[in-house]
Amino acid sequence: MTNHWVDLKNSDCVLAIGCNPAENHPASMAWINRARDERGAKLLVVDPRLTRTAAVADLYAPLRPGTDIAFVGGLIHYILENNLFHREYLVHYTNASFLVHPDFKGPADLDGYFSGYDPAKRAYDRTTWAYQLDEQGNPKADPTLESPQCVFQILKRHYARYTPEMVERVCGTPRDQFLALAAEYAKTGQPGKAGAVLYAMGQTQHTVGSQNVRVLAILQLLLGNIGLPGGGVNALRGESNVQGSTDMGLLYHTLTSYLATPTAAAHPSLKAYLERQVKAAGKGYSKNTPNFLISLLKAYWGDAATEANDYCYDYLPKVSGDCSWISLFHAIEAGTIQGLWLIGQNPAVSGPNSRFERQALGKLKWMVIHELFETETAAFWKAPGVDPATVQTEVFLLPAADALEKAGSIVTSGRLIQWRPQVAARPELAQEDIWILDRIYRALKKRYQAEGGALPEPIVQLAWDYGDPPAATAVAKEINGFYTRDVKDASATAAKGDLLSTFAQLRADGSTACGAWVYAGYYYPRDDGTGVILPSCMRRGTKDPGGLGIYPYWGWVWPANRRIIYNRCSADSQGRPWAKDKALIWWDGSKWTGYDVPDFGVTTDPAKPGGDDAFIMHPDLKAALFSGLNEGPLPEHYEPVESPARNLLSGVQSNPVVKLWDAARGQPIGDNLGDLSQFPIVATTFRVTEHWQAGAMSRNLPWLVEVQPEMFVEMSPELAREKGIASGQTVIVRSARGEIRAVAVITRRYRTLRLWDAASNGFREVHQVGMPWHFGWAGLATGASANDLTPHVGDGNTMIPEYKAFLVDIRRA
Amino acid sequence: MTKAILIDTTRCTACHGCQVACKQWNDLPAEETHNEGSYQNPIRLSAQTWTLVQMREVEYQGKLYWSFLKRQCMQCLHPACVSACPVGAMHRTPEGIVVYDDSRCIGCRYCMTACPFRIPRFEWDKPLGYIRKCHFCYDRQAEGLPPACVKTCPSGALQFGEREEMIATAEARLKAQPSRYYPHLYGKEEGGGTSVLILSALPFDLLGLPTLTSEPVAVPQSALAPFEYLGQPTLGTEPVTQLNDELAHVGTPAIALGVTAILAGMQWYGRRRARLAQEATGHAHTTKERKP
Amino acid sequence: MTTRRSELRSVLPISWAEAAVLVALAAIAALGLGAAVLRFMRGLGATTGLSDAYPWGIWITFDVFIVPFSAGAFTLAAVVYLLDDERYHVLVPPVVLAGLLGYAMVCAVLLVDLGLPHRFYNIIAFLNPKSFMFEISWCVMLYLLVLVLEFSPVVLDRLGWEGPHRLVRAFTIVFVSAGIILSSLHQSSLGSMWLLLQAKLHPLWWTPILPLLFLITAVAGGLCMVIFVSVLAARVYGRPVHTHLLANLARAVAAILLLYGVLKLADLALAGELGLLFRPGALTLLFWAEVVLGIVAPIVIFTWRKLRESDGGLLLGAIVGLLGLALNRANVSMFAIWRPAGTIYRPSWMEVAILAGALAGATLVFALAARLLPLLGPADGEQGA
Repeated sequence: MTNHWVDLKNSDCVLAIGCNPAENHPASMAWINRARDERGAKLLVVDPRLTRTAAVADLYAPLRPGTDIAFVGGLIHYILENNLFHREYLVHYTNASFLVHPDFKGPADLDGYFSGYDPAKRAYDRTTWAYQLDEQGNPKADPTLESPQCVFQILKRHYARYTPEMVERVCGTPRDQFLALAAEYAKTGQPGKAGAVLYAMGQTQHTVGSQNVRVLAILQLLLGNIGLPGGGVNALRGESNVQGSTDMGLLYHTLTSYLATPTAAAHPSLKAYLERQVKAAGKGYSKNTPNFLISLLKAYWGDAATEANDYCYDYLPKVSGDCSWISLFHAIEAGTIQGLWLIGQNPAVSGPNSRFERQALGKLKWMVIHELFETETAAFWKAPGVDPATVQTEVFLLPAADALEKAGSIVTSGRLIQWRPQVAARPELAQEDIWILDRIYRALKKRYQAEGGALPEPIVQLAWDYGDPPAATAVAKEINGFYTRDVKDASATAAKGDLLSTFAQLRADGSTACGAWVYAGYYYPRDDGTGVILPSCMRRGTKDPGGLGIYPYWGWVWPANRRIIYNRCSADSQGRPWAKDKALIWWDGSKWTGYDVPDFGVTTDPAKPGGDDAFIMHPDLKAALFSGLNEGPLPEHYEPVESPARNLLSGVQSNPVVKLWDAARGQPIGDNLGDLSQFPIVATTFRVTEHWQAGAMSRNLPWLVEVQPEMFVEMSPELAREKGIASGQTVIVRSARGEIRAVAVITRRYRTLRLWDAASNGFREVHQVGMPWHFGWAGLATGASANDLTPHVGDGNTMIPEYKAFLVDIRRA
Repeated sequence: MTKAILIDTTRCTACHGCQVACKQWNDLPAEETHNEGSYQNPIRLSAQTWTLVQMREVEYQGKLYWSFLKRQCMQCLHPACVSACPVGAMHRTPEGIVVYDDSRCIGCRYCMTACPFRIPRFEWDKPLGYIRKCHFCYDRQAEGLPPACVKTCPSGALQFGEREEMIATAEARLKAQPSRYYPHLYGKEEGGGTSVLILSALPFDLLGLPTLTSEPVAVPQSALAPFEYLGQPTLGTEPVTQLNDELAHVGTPAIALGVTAILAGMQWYGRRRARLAQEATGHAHTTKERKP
Repeated sequence: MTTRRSELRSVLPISWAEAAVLVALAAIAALGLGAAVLRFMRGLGATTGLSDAYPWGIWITFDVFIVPFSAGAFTLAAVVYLLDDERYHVLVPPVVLAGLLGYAMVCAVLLVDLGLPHRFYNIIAFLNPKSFMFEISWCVMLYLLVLVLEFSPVVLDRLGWEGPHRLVRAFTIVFVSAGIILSSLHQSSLGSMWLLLQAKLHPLWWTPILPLLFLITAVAGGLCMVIFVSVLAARVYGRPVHTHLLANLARAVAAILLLYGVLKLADLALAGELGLLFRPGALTLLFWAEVVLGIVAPIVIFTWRKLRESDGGLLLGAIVGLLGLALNRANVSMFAIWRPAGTIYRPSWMEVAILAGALAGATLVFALAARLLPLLGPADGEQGA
């Protein structure tokens, strides 16, 4: 999130699209309700069906799964058409005024493509997407936003096709409902008003997922809603500590704190890495990457990492291909990957095309799995229908401790890090994950030291001493960062081992070590507001100067305890807050001051050049309305790979850079894709409050099983009537990947879509269904896994699977 | 003096936290359930389920609502169950909480018949069964804590405090955002008032609550119900216990005395008739002299 | 000669037919007992059709019908002992026995119906004076005692215990008075107990004067019971039917029912509910059935002299009246209570068996008493003692 949970209470309008906060983050409703009660804020919900969030919304608009860009593009069109954008904000804080390469062309001109597409590679050459530069190498700009080649005008031309009529035809949203919602949300474009956008997997789990989020960012920038209280582009993270896990580099394309994972091709050496990353950083703060990376390397290899050996950079694994989830499972299926180490993960239920993935697991030589329960993955070798004698995988099930049974920190969607003590006793054999990994490491190290083996140094030379038994607090200190030797110079005086208080202290000379640069200072002892000094993330101080819900003494937020990032934008170009009643930071004549940590040079005068360069992480220090991703610099609507309709916006049916997998295509279990002729119903998956992810932690609890006992599929009464299905009856849902049984929940909350059919030149009815994906065969409450139906196809940039829009058929059991 | 819960259904998103918290605090077993085509489970209150979130899809003024309402003992100020219970197992504590003393209960189930909200439930599966219902977490209240459901509610739909305070809070909300609510605070007066107060966007009869109307509200019934019921039951502002209590207080002695008087009168009349007959015929003519 | 024959006849041997009937009754009673055992082994949920939507079923309805049925005992006692009309004395023993057996059945069925019957003594230990069920329980317990005492002379006579017989006889007026007070209290309380259901009981039945209406119908119903038991027992055991006496009672029934009908109508009119009489629906039909069976038919039959003064007419009127009473009590206690849509009550065979067993047991005792005790007067052709 750019903002944070409590901040929702400051919003004047909350737009929840592709997410269901009441369902999956029930506590967030407390803050949204505060905004509704105290500010008269409106809650707007856009979702294929009327969810528990929509049940308390002021306005609800239905939309077809996979058409978010069309919808939000429609909002952008509405805002531009009616001049409801925040002009001063755009001119000062975004790249709206920048001039783009004269040869740039967009889908409006090229029938769905941007300039530079190579059909053979299924990729773009981005040369024509660059800015026009002046002599200093800075982008040329037109602050009047009139020039036809400026980003603003390009944006306007690009979204000219996204009319309310188009929204109705593509998304199935009735025109009047769309316009009512647009009018309401556009009010937040007024200076002094703030609208918050909430999104989650409904936006990201699509082949255009990255662009879905981009279009939300563009929407918010047009309305001037980024960087101020009650605004922001806010991801509702899907697990209680997924924010922490991505911060710690568990995604394949990043190291900790989102440093790029080195690739064999582009980053063969430390020098190459640093040069390339610093160049890409432009004027943005990431130009300090050398400080971050070298400190990280020092954290990994400690004293063994010296300037002479490039701080052990060569020990870091280099990625040589696509290591995304879907790729991993194809590699497992092909036998390239022989062993799988799973920590609290259940691919047998949560993976796309899960029949394929379960079959792939059987190809593994070995599997190690840390788990609380014997899940469908841990027990895949004895799943219903599997003869254990045919499975050659050696499975090691290691009982693990639950989050409440160990101490450690958890990071919320709002980047708030809170340390929690152990509050429950563990079952006898269960251990913390760090204990398990520590023991594995020690054993490995011993073997490497005794027997040699291939490339022992990266393992043996790791700086690994967290105590015996290992303490999470020791790991925390390393993540926080410390001085590796005594330092005394112009910028700092410190002793070896002193904890860092800020990432500004990080150096590229090996004198600092830091596990995650954005976390620097999170464990540093600070006052909790009452005079008690604690590691910052352990604090629970309740003082809230300013009353905006900042709570600076409660826990610690990365980076630098800054609660709202890009908060320079909460004030105008002169440093005066847009909203008097929600003043966050302001220029007092000599410095920036206020209730939050300024995301800006504290002494940078707003009136001087650079005084409005608010987006300090960006190469151009301006927010990017126009910014290159793999499928284009602007979000364009493409249909999901399995779609019920022809793309009405252009001649390109689906995302032209998406990788299409074809292992075992045509086989009963394989990378199969279906079409409308066999699978005429649009399907999506979702979660329910009562169950958790792949279900092990909730389907084993009787009180939760009581509330949601069975796998179900929701559908409209019209579809039910057509198929002769009664509520509570068992039905079979089938896709090109498999079929499952589920209980029919018939509800008016699901509407039959009316989509435009180009062939017949009229509207056509298309049904839709949705189902939770929490169920599997193991546990107290069992049921079919929805992911047996989802496709093995992912986003053009991140490869996140398209769980949210695919095609099925349905019949009575 | 009496504490009350204010349920603001416009804030409720049916997370079921209250339902599970109640089970946890009171150590109630989970029932075996099936998805009957709804997110609501268990479908009804029972001896093992003392509160649940009722989820109804309702069409009102052209809009589809997915309404949520926490159902539980209404903690009436003048409880029918308390007037009904012959052994005083259902009683009201000095703090105004309606509690059940299972050491007194004889299982007659009159409380179940009397309750206008149909709250008390019976342990049908046991050879010797008790009545069960929400007891307002009287044990938590005794320690100055709010009920478990209120404590858990994440969205602020449930609030707890002095009844007058909750009424004032509710009425302030009705005044501040009139377009958000149906203009009525349920429980302030219904049946003499309850300690569970409800705000809603929908009319209360659509939520299945007995309503303050003089005309019975017709509601479509399923074919299974063989008799025509008058839709929703209705409730006045006076307590349902008013007649019962007044009669018990006054009526019993009155009847006893009245009948005694009548008997005495009949005796006198009978004796007089016999005496007159005797005077007329000269024979004794009373029952007493008949041979057995 | 005649005395010996009557003595002989009052003792076995009996005809095969009668023996078969007695054995059958015993068998049904045993079945009922078996069902009761099942109820205690498996719980009410498994053995009845009762549920949270229908916590009370045919057992309670049976109880609330049998109590006013048994009111014959107290109304007849009032006529005999307080109006000092010794002509009716001859009707007393079988009616008191029938009343006694009625209350005994009620107690037996209640013990099965209560969730925690082993705790029934809590009624004595704890009291809630606001509860009409409390009042009913106490009155029923005490009245049962009164009935036993009222009936005891018959038994004592048979046993030949003169002393106790005289003692009991001396206190007859006390028992009778107590019985009348207790009966008036609990017969009306059986109506009062529904006052709490103001929100749930159909307005065709619910009224603030429900206790009064219940008392009135109890008196009328009790008199019908007197007629019913007297005619039936006389016919079965070959005794003269005291038609003249019963005809007088029948006239009283007609008058009481007329008063009841007027009260009911006036009550509905005052409440503005006359329109409900014509609202289409099953409950309206049930109401009219109750009116026809319980008010109109008995009035017509008992006003018609020819019918009133014939055994058949008397029996018909009494049966119809009792059916009307039963329907009224069934409506108030079961049919006319609001239930949520989709809920249903189907009595199980065990529920029916227990009622059948209770009725069979009571009938069996009555039949044995008719043979073993001086219950009924002398047979045809014999002179009364």
